[in-house]
Amino acid sequence: MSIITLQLGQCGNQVGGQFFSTITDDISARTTGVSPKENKQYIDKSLETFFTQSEAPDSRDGSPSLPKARAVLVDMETKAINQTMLQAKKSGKWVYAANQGFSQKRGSGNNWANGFCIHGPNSQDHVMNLVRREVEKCDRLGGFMSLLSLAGGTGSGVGAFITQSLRDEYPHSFILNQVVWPYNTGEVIVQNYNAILTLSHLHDTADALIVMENDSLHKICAQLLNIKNISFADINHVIAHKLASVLQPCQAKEGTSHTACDLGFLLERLVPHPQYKLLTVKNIPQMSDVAKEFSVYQWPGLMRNLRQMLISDAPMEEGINWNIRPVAFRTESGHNCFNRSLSTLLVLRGRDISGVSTDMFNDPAIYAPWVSSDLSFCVAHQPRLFCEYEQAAALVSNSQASVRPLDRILSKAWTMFSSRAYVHQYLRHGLSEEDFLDSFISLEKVVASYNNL
Amino acid sequence: MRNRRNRTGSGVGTCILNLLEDEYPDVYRFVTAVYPSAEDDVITSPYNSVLAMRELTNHADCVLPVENQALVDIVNKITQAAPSTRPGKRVYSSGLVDTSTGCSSAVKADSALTAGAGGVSGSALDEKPFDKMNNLVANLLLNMTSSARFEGSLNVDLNEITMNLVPFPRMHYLVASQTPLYCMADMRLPPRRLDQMFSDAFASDHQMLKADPKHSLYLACALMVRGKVELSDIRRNIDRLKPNLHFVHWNEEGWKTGLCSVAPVGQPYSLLTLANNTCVHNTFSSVRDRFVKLYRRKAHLHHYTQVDGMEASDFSDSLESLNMVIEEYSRLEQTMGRPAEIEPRLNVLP
Repeated sequence: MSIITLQLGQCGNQVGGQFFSTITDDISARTTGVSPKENKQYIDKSLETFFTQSEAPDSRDGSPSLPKARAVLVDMETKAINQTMLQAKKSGKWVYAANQGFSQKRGSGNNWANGFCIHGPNSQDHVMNLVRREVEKCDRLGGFMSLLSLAGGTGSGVGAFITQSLRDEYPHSFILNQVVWPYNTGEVIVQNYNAILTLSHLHDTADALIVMENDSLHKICAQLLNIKNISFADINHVIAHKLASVLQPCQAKEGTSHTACDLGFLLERLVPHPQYKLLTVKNIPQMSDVAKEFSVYQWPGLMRNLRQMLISDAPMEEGINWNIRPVAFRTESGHNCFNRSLSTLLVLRGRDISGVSTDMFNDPAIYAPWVSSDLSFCVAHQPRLFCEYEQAAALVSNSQASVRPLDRILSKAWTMFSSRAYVHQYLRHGLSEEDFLDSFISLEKVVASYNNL
Repeated sequence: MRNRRNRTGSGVGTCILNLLEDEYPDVYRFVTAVYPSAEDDVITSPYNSVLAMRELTNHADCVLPVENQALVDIVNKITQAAPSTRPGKRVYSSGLVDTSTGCSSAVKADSALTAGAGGVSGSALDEKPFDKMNNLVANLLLNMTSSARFEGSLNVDLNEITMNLVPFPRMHYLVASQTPLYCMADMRLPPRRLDQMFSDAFASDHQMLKADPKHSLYLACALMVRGKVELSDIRRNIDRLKPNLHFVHWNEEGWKTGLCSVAPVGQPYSLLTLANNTCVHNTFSSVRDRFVKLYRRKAHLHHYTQVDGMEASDFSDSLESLNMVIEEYSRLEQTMGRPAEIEPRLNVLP
């Protein structure tokens, strides 16, 4: 089942480039932990999902042609796309298909209205054509994954518009959006407006949104990976790692039968109700390549840490608050004292996974009471090592954790909106104050729903 | 770009601004405007300035005011900081001549040089600093457009500058400040430490406008960084400088960051800050006061009203427009230090 990736805006393109690199690095890893036959199965499945391969050798020098990413690159100015395509070629392991990039000259100016109302409609035909070209190359379409950031103008505005077009043209396909939340303090001043406008639209059209916060990713880089001068490339590396750890091939065990854990399965299990679409991904362990050689972990320890990361909403395995417990009572304001989940999916990759006990995740106390216990938790296995980690686990959860950053952004956006600052910049491109208010209302509803879990 | 005290720059310039708006309404219009200093030799410069300002307020998307006095001071600073000149140094000839006054402003600028100089050699006295001053403004434009011309991990185009720094339509006047300071490809100054560069940018002697933003209210601030600087460096410096700056309550985190990988020639890195700060109302007030002094007496008005298409009401309208801009900035500045009234969020049922 193939997944087509749409890279939208500078962030989306940079993350996308890193994502495909991470997949090819994983595929070409030397330590695999399984037999060559099983390894080949894994590689074939992964290539099938994310790349097209042609039988014919490269026309220029007769060498076998490189896998081409199933991707569409969209940006309103040319630099990011050119850079991303160049870096892919330089890797020597994969490339982007020719002419799958669409760009303009002017950029969106960090203006959601410019992206959604002007550039979106203008580029719709071209972009949907590129998508169609990729779809036609697939034997079986698994779904779409869009990569975008919420802060800018293209990823957010054009992204929201294109997701809507995708939904209109492929009403039965799965659409997963991976959204990057900007740092709390400034990358873009109007990032809060752009974020709430995008999220309110995506929440309607996409099937699920995977939330990744720059602040959390930064912490992971600083504390776990020990990077001194953190750049966006480092952050993108972490994002790519998280996505790949979930989307690379694995098998879910349901009773005695096995199902391939593809995009459809993921979304079915994690989004039981359309009002709850925000997902987070937690990984354990995370470390630099150098540390990997010297680290030894045990599964029970990893599982315990991961569960506590879930309950206490910690971004990583350092600094976890062990005092938080899944208790039934709520605070005076009606909030939970821990991070309650709707549903979770655990992916185990590496050695000795068949014996790992995951019952602690099946504890009804950590889930909302109205979700039936056989639907709230699911495990997927893959004995083939992921990126040469002896043990690696990824936990995708639909929980209250996603609402925390949303709540914060809503507050800031509302404060700014009360003084109508910057609003004229959006109105001049076709938005109205009504549109703003609609976005606020629909997101307040999402926050309220999650808080009442 | 226009010089606003001189009749050609301000008059023809603003006319062209109007034409650009009609012809290309979707393209953003940036204006670098040179504001006259207090002791200005063009007598009617206040009239030219205020008349031009109305056009800038209504038809430009973003204005970067620049004061000659600030530029002169910066040039002085550079000359003093550089090691002594080699013998036989070339004397630069000025490319810019003031049309209304001939050479008198050149003499004035020279005297500013000698006043501060002390140990400057004789040949430097004959130099006209306009080239160096223009060089500073040229560097400003280069830094501002660097993201559009080169690659970087966080590109900032010109339209993004307007989007993030202009919260209300008429409040589009930005105070620019650059580090490191150098002109005419003079590379003899040693490079500063990175954090020092950020601190310098917020020092008033690096600004292109004589103003005091630190004691006024910031509406928004953009940091355009070039060269070998990482995201974490920028974030660290923002955290360091923020406590000393006052931001308006609805934009406490009003920082826009741009990162371009290519540094200016001969420098390891550079920083341009563009701040939308309420301190500009002081500059505008002094321009207005000089205008009013002349206007009250109707002095020299007939030179303007004799021209076809120019009416007395243009003067009063322009004054009105300038007053409104000053009023908007002052009103915001007065909210400084007062507790903010937060509107409660919407209460919805799930």
